[in-house]
Amino acid sequence: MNKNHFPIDPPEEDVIAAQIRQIVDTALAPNESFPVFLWRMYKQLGFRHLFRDWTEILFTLLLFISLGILTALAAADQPSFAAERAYAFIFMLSPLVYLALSLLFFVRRMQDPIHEVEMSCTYSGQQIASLRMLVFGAAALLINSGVLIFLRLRLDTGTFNLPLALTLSAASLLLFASLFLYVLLRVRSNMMRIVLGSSYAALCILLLGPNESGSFFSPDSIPFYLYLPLGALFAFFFLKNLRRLADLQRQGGHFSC
Amino acid sequence: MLNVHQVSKNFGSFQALRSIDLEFANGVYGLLAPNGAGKTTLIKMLATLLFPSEGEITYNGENITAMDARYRNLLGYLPQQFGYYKNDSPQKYLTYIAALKGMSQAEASPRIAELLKLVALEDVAGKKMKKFSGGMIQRVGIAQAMLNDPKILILDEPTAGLDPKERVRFRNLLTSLARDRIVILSTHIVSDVEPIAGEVIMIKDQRILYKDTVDHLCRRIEGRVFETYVEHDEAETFRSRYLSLSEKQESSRLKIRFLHEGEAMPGWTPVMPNLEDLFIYTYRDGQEQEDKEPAK
Repeated sequence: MNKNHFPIDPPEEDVIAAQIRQIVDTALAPNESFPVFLWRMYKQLGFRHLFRDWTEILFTLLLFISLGILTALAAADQPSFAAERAYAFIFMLSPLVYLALSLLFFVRRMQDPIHEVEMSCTYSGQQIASLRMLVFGAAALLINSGVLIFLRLRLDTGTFNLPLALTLSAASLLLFASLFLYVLLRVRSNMMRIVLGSSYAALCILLLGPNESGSFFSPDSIPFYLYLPLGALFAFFFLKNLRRLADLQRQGGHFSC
Repeated sequence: MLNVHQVSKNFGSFQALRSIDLEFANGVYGLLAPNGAGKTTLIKMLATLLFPSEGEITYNGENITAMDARYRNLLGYLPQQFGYYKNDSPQKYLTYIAALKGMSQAEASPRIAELLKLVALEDVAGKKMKKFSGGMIQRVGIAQAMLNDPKILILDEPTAGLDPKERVRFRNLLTSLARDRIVILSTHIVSDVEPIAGEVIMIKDQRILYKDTVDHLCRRIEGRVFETYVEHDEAETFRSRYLSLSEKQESSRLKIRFLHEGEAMPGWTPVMPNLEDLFIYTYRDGQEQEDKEPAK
């Protein structure tokens, strides 16, 4: 057959475009959303590999029990605790639980002998770190909620607003967790990280700490429903930073601690 | 095909590697250089633990950094300082690494059993690694690198701590693996590379100096390697004039293998050079350099 007289017309432009789209769609794997990726990773790794060993689980349990005891003692010894200081206490306590869980992880990470092997695996060390930070956030939320329900049972029901306490606790934790990750990813110097962390603590004490005329800021002056959008905003920043942590290796970087 | 295109790596003002171009197809590649020459930097870039300051590394035409998990899925890596948790058993450790490599329990269990047998650790699979010898630990490291049946196997000083019998077993294993994958073996021990490497890559002054077969590399100094016998009291003078490659005591004299770039003298026997001769000749000017990669 003479190829110059092949009896088929060339396809139309839109047919060509559609076929290109079909080829590209077939060849390219669909983009996986970050929550789906985290869920898949969690399903793959399972709970037992999220915590390095039993010492981390023991630490979490001890933290929970210690906080319960401390809160019970504080509530029992100071009748005025419930009315005036409970919300400030909650605002500062929530991030501290998250900080305690995260610091244990990062201190162990600094001494981690298998860091290089982890970094070369399908799920890189940073992706696992991001999943762990999310789980720590959830664990801290649960611990805090447990402590708050305990407080609610111990204190005068007329003065303690549980929905406010829960939303305040979640918002302050998410605010701190997103700042924590931001500093970890953006600030290289450990000294600067310590300075920023101390500044955050000092600011909290200054704003919320007791003084002669009460405190500069009282968390219960804001209605609880306003903490919901604030919490959602902080959760958005927290997830954004988690995603950045998980994607760090693909973007050609590592974080150090 | 794994390609390194014009890759340089800087640590601050120090340049660890300059304009590296390499191409890897299936087979064993020996990366040979003294400590501190940049081998580990190159290996870490191939394992995505470090990123090029300039240039790019591609696998089948795709940038390995952009491939991210898809690339690491193909990768098996044994770092120079293989770390492990002392209280873990090989079974527990390999189960953890298998999970990180995205393997399901159903895939991982038989593979771990197979690898523990392959590296002769099946009898101690449940024992804590804190009581293991250096060779046993290294074998666990080799097993973890091979867990996902990688298409690219990168091993940094893999034979450290292995006894001679284990070294031979390991070399045979690599040879069989290399039929359908890329095996990159970084070492400064010439005897680890010479019998098995399809090609040897030598790095000097932060650049690739040679990439060739062992035979072709050895021919570079053909006609320049000799052996002769020297009296003990002449040995020092001889060493100051010629580059001594190896020495052996034979009766009352020293048998010296040496390199000389000129006319042979009476009593000298020309011999076939080997890779170790070339290694000593190539790196004769520099003692082992300090590893200048800054601590992170």
